[in-house]
Amino acid sequence: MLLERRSAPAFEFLVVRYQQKVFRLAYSILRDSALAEDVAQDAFVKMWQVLPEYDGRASPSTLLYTIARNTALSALRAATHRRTASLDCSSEWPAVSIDTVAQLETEQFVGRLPEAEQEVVRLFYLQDRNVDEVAQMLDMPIGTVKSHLHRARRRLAEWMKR
Amino acid sequence: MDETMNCQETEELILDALETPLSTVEQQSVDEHCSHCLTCAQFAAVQAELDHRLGQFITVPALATDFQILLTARLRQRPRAALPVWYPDVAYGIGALFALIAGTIVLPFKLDTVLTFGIAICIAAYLFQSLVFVFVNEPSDE
Repeated sequence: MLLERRSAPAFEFLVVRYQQKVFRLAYSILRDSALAEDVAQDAFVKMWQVLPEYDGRASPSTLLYTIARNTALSALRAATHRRTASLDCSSEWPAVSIDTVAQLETEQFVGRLPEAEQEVVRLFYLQDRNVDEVAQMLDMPIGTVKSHLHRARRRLAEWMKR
Repeated sequence: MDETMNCQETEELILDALETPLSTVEQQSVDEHCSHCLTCAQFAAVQAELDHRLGQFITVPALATDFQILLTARLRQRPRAALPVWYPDVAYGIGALFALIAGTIVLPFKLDTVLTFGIAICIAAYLFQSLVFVFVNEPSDE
């Protein structure tokens, strides 16, 4: 239905189904909920705009995730450019009071991972540990997602032990 | 110790288990190996602790409840550019045609002369504006 014409009901279905996932994808990159929400909005607006040229070769979700990821990366570059301090220092994490030290330490360690590993680790936990979903969102083979996760876990474990 | 599994393989299975549940046989092999190998047992404990921490701290804030309403409002505000890219060329062609017809009626020259010069001027103007467009118009990021 999306392919035949720019159908508003079909698009609405897409929004309802993917809004959380697109938001999580943006959040995994930006770590700022307000910015991630703006990016998710932008991604859907761009998706709506490109629908007339959509040829159906990739699934709508793949196209949407690609748009969302590129939009989030552009927003991250713009935000990094605007701020002199790194986003890592001011990144927003939900307030968890159980063990603040452990939380800060974990944040710090994850922030030290290479970008690709950080993204996979964050998305893996944000997406309820669903490797298939992460692979689809990042347009990566499942094996690549797993190898990023394994490498990241080994690094993090090393840092935790010190 | 399980003769079929070395430490490297055991570690990989320990890591796999944090993503997807292992089969009974795999789990038994890991348990068997770890019961004899302190290094792998420690590796499993550290990974379990790390997994717990990551799961605990990497959480996503709730998406605003009015997300869809705001999106709908934005989509209404931003109707897609209605004109296809070839519209200006067609408009130019139609304008040029009218100018030529008007020229042949109004100008006190022979029809051949008006048409020849008119068409030449139209083509030159079209090429010139295309050239200007190419050099002036910057490519967009999107």
